[in-house]
Order: sequence, then C-alpha cells, then structure tokens
Amino acid sequence: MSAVAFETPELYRRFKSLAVAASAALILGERVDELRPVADELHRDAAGTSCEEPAARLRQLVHGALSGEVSDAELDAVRASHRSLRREVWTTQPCEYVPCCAGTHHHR
Amino acid sequence: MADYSIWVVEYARVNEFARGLLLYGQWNTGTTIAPYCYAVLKSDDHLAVIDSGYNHVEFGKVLADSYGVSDWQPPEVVLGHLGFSPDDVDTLVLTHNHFDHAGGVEFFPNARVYFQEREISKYLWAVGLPDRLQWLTSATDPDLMLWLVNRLKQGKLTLLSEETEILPGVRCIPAHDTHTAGSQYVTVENERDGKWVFAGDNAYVYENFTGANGDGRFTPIGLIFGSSERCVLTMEEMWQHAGEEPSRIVPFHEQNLWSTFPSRQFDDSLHVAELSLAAGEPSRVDSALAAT
Repeated sequence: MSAVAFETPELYRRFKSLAVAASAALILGERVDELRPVADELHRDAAGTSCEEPAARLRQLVHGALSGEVSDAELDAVRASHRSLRREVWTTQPCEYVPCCAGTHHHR
Repeated sequence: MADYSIWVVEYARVNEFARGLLLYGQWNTGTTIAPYCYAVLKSDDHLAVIDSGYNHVEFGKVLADSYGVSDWQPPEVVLGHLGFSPDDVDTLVLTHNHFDHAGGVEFFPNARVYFQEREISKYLWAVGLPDRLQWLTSATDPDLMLWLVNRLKQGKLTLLSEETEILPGVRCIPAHDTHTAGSQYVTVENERDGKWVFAGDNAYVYENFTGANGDGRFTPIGLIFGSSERCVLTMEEMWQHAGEEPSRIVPFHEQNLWSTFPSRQFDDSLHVAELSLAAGEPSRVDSALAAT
C-alpha cells in the first residue's frame, strides 16, 4: 500500500470525527475554541494528501464559527469536500459504519 | 389534547434482515423482512412526521446498498401516497441520529426539528477519545450533522433535554443511553382513541415486547450503544404508556404493521398503515377512495 493510500483513511477518520464534533459544537454553541487547535493540526498533517481540501474547509468553518456567523457557503463547502473524500476512501476501504438496521453488511 | 389522524408509511425495506439484530441473542435464526418507516400525524393545525428516512444518494445509498435496502422512495412519493407534500410538514421529530431515521432532514424544508440535546453533546464528548474508541460515533455522519447546523441557522432546531409536549398531546420522552446516547420516543394522546407510542429504535418489532420465545419476557434490540438495562426499562415505560397493549406501540421496522392495521400496498410496493382517523378525515388505504 502506498504512503498516500495508507495516510488517507487515517486522516479521513480524524476528519470525520472532527467534522461531527465541530457540527455538534456549532449546534450547542459551546467548545468551538477547543476544536481550533485540532482543526489546525489536521490541516497541517493533511498537506499534500486527498484530505487537504476537506481539512482546509473544516478549519475555515471552525475559525469562522469563532469569529461570528457561519455561512451556508462554508457549510456547503465542508459537506462537498467531505463527500469527495469519503468517495475516495470507500474505493479502497470498507465502510466504517455500524450496521444499525441492516441485512447482510457486505461492502466491497 | 387534540385528535390526530395517524399513518405509518413505508419508504424502503430490507428483505433479509438478520433476526439477531432485531432481537438480542437470536443469533443464527435466519432473516426476516424489515420495512423502513416513519409516522405521519395530522391534526387540524399541524402536519408532523416522526423520523425522516434517508436520502438515497452518497453515503445513504452506499449504506443502503450494503445493507440490502430496496424499494426506496423519497418523501415526495411516500407522503404523496397520503396526498401530502414534504413542504406541508411543519414538525419533524427525530428519534435518534442514525441514517435511516435522521438522514432525510433536507427533504422537509419547512419543518421545525425536535431532537435530544444529549444525542448531539455526546459527539462533542467523543472527539476527545482515542481513535480506538470511535466505534461509539460510527453510526453517524458529518452530512447528518451539517444538515442540523443548517436547520439551526434557520431558527428551526429545538434541542430537548427532558420530557416535552411539542404539540398538543404529542410528547417527546428521553430514552437516554438506550439504542443511542440521546434517543427519544414519542407518545401521542388522542382525545378520540387514547395513547400511541412511537418507539424509534428502542423496539424494532412487536417481538421485542412479546418475547423472542413468545413467553412475554421483553427481548431488547440487538444493537445497543447505551445499556441493555436502560433499553429494557425504557421498553417497560413504553409498555405502560401503551396500557400493556403491544399494538399501541409502533416499531418502525415491524412488517406486521400491515396486518395489524388497515393498510394498503401501493404500486411501488410500499405500504401505508392507517392507525387512526380523526372525524371527517378520509381513509388513505381504502382503495375505493384513495388514489394510487
């Protein structure tokens, strides 16, 4: 497995966890400041990988939330970049979701 | 109190649903058909939906395909079976944050969304945990959360932390640390025909209440992020709300809904069960009256 192929799923896991947490922080209106260094670190580590763009968008969302209103465009940008990253990861990695209401769970 | 007409609408189904997931401990006992459903409540003043389904694109499609979900239709079609439009829905209750229950928020643009605060706050708590513990968050997706942020920005998201009457006779009741950290179930008290209980995923099927062996001992669901004890005690709460009558409890993955209540299967193969009709409300399942 290439270095990039190895790094991207790991970065994706970090991105996904942070994106969920950042959304929760925005909804609750609390602890966004605690996520800023996490977003900065992810953005640094993602440089030169498929996760760079999503990490940049997410960092922008977190920083934007600290300085005022979050725009629909910022939310859409995070959503779109996350979808793109997820599509790429799922071409090589099994889906990580817990099968809540599933029949046979058989990802390619 | 008010009088609601109540329907359960099927929007997709799994034809080979593992019984071991429906009923804890029933490993290697085969599969069954499990519908994916949500409920529709109509009063003189409100059109409410309990759970939203999911959008069959992107991760929703990937998950659904991998889980063997078939016959999915969007709310425009599913609510169309009742003669409603998703745009008409003013109230949307999400029982928990899994894709098949909360993945369709975007379809209901005019609805105020009601959700348990704990279901959100636990994600923020989990971000501080090491990666080896992230199974705890692995049944949600940023897409679902970002749609909730959108709804908050529109001023149409209400977070709940205790039992709350959100509409006349409609109560959201916390079921924390059960199927998920911040699940809730819903009771609807009708002036005309009494109380109905909408279980979310705190019960998948009637058998959770009647017992996997038919012995009347509650058998909890097979996927629990909280505790089995909390699940069983929440089932007891719902059982008491329902007056110990299982048909008064509505599990959204129960195929016997179609034989328990007047129902109709539409040309797209999806079912509608008609649980209660307010005075003057026409039936949607009487084929002589309803338009396919």
